[in-house]
Amino acid sequence: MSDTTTTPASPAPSAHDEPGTEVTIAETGFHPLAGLAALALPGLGHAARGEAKRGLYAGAGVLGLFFGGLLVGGIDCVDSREDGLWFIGQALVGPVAFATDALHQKHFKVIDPITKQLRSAQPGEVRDDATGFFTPAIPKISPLDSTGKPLMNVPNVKGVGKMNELGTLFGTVAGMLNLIVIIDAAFPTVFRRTRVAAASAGGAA
Amino acid sequence: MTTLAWRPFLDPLPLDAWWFVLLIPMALGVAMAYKAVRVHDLSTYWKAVLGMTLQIILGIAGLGLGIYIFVQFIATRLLT
Repeated sequence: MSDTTTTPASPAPSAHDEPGTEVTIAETGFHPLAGLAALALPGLGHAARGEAKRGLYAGAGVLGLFFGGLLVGGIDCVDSREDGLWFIGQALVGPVAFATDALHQKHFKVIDPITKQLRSAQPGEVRDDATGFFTPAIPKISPLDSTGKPLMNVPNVKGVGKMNELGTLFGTVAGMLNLIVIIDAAFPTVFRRTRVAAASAGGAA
Repeated sequence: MTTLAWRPFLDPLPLDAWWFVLLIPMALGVAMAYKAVRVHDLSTYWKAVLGMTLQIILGIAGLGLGIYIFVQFIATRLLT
């Protein structure tokens, strides 16, 4: 692509190469558009660079780990308020991680009536979507509003123990791997074949 | 919580007794993402993924075994 610039990443052809010999030089390119695309969605950067299959594999690996973590530990595994340090790693997955966290905070947590702070619902509590406050008694059937939509949603179950640890770890590992994918998309290694020029007078003897 | 009551993505997976089995999907995911950017020729991708997955699983299992032997046999001898 036209916005790709390259800088040598490997040594120039060595002095032992015969003049005129074809050698392959690895160079580090710079592809800002691919970097931005990779930040938006795992694997999209490689697709933007024309390597759709590579992007698909990378995206499948990163998103597979992230959603695998959600499957293992539930949505409670992505929590910027309670697990802030882990969320730093998870945030590297990109907007998907922030959307998951926002969904968790705004649609699954309840507002404690005493502290007025968001917290995970305890067993026996359900969430009133209109106010965010929990209702201590679980009705068998949620009351309906005027449009027939249930007023209360049973929130998620808070993860504890190994399942919570592993789910959180899955998401954080996914974020760290996505950092590698982003760097590879923005700074790709490009290979160029060139011929060794004749040695200059000041070159190796 | 029973398995039947499990709601995907909302509730933790009821696999507490079998947590170590989750090393396999984690190793596979790590290998998939890493090898996607590492292999030069994508025709060897799945072979490389399989190799790395096995390396991670065997490496972690070996580490676990080594730590088990150290804690159970070596450390107890050192302390007594």
